[in-house]
Amino acid sequence: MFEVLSWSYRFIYTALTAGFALSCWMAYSKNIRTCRYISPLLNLILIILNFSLIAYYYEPLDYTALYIGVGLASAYMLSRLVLAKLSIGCNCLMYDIVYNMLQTGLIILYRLSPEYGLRQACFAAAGMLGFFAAFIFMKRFQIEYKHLSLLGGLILALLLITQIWGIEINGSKNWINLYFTNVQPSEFIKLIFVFFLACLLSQELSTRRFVGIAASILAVICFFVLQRDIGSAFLFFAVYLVMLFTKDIKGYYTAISAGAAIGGAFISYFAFSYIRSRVLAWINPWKYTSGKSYQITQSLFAVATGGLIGTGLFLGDPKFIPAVHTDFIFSALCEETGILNGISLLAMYALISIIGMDISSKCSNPIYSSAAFGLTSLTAIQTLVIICGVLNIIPITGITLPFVSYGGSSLLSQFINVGILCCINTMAEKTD
Amino acid sequence: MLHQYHGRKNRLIGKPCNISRLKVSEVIQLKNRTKIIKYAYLSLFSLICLYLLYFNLFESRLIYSNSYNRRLRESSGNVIRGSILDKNGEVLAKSTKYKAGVKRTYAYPRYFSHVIGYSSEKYGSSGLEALYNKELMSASDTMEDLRSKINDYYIKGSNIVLTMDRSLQVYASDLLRGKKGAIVVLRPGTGEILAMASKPDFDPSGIQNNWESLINDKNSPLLNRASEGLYPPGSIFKLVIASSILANNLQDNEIECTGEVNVDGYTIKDSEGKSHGSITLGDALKYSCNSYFIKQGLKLGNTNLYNEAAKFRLNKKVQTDIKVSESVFPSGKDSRSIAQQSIGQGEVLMTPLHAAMIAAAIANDGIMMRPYVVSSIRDGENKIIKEFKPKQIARIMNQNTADIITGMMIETVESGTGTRAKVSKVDVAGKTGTAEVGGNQKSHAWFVGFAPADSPQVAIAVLIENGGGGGSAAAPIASKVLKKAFSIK
Repeated sequence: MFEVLSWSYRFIYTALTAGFALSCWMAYSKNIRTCRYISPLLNLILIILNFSLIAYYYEPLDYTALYIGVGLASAYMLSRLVLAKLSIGCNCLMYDIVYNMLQTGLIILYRLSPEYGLRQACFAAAGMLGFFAAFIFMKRFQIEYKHLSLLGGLILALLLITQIWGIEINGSKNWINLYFTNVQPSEFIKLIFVFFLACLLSQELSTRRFVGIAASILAVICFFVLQRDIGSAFLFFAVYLVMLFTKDIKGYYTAISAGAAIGGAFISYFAFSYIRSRVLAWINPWKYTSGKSYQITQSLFAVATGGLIGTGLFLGDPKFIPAVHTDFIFSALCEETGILNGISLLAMYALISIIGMDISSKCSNPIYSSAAFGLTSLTAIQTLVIICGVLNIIPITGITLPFVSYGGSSLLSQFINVGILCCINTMAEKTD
Repeated sequence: MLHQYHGRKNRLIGKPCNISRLKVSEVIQLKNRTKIIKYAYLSLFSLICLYLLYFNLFESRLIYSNSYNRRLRESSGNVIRGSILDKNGEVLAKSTKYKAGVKRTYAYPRYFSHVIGYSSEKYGSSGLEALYNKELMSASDTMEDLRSKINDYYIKGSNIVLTMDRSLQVYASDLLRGKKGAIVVLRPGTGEILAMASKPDFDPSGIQNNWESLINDKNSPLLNRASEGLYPPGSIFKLVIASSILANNLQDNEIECTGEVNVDGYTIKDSEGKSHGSITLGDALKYSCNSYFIKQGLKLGNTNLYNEAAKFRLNKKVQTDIKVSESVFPSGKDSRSIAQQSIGQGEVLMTPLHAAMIAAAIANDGIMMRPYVVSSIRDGENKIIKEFKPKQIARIMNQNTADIITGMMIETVESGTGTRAKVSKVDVAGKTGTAEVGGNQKSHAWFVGFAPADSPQVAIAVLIENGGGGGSAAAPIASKVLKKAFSIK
């Protein structure tokens, strides 16, 4: 009986998600008022239906899933009301989108393993608190050029701590054991790094300054390479590149950096065997199906199995994919809820990227404008890299899908990221 | 709430002094940069969406059917795998339900092992079992699918009907017994594959027990030689060169054949060093004169040859519904390699299926048809759910060229190298090939052709690995298969 339910529910699910994505786009681009009410409503319906279905799967009824669903829904309503009071403009819309991604991730995670789902729900609670904390903190605390050394010192300290006390999980030595949980400092370094760059780039760009910027980014990347965290190294460099591009009139500096990056990529291909094996797995995945491209081919099988509307929750086999709950969650999503759902999700990522870019354009303070740009790029590039990775468009790099993948540090950092963006948006709107 | 901001209003504007040295135009330019990145993100996201749709439409079937996909199973839930039938409705593979589960049985296991493939819990599936897994495993009717889930009864998946003829396939396979090789029989006008035999073969129902020995066997019985085996085409490739000669109006040149050609210090001999004297295209094809084709090939040059090969679909993916390898024609580096390629040696590689397609295209007035094995998908009541229609790939030569080459091929069988391919009362057009493989191994024997020559009904390619001369080893087999093929509808 569950099969029938899940089988038919996928149509509803696809329609609801597509409706949600569409209404968010309409609310933003066409400024249609009713859509502002439709989106949160759809969000609530999705949360309730999804978790009811999951609870129904288990016999007897899985109350934990129900509790998570109810908790998620009420936390959503509450936080949404508070946010509506606190801020203006499109902040609520951003929050809706982010929350939708969060619940999508929770559903898939809970379906993959209730244990992960439960833990992710706790992380989500922390994330929401982080969102509001960041929002309020940024209102009270002004970041100026003089904070540059503070930010730089913070980055260096965090990197050194990871280097010295870091422990290795899944091949990357970028975790810190805090006794009650493990954290990934790189997730938080990202945010500080964006502000650090924003401060540096707020001044006029000269060759001397460029050398300074380049040296600092090089240092950071060296740390990541030492920690075998190629995903972060790539992400940082990409964000640096696009941020530089917006300040670099002639484009020379950006070109030099890009050239250096290509050179670095070549060198690392020959210097590090784990990079080489990923590139080989990318170029010809079907040659090493049971070896180094096992992950990526399993991911492609999953996406190919799902088709447009998926197999239905619990009716696919996403567990065949290794690391499915972190890097490859998009493939699991495509398998069980369909490619159309994946497209809706992508539309939402595209929308928050656009909102973030508009916030950056709107903001007249150069540091904040640059920071908004960098924070948005962080999410956008991270999403592009991991989704292209799981679809084998580019070699796979181990980074998370923002708001969807399992992981406390990344979820918290992404919520803080959006919190800061919302705050910058509020400030920008007020000065208009 | 507003008053909170008034006090700090200036901070939001910031100190603009640092960009004051920029010109207004430059400030606008920088503003546009943000926009550029914004639209870059937007377009990248849209491109991924498009790619996902493309993936779903064009790539997912092949990927899904990869034998490493553990989702391909003999049965799942309450679906009994559909049957596979030949063109006359004879059952070739079917699943039956026992108390312990579902069992797949093959009526002619070894004869269809490569085309139909296997379906195993442990080792995945191959062939049509893998490619059409989705159809075989799902009912044609979604409502029926749903009803069966609610009421928890078994439903049958869709059936697949092939273009192949069981009796011809069995007959062709038996002719290859004890040899390594492949036979492909096509309908030139439609591209239907009537038979596709490949030896050595395997027993798909015994795959569980013999897996280790099958994958370690150095004769690679799991490989479908007919569509995935790549072989030097040897003299059958002269058909391609002949088409290029005709297209470039070089057919009136008479070439002096002394029995050997010296190209850059490298001597290529004619078979048995026989000299043909002054020879024309017709006789050169009939007697398979190497000197003629090497000299003409060198005259045509690399560009012409490469383009002609591309026209004949070498180096290209063959559009079909089974797994095929791409035939290879490398760009000739020097006159020595051009000379070798002109007689189908020197790294030119072709699948037997491709060879049959070329023969079929000549038979079909120069139009190459898409070869296919699945003619329709049907439900349990034999109602057609989906029918596959013949499709043109392209015109690879004009009708006149096709007619001229056909005439020469008739001569070849009438009184040239292919006399042993004759069939009584019917005109056969054909070309033999003896492809050298290097070392001390015997040559691969080839024969391609079609019959009846004036209104072709079947085209054929025969390949015998290390079988020796095409005229002596492959042509007699082709003759028998062609004769048998006339008896089927």
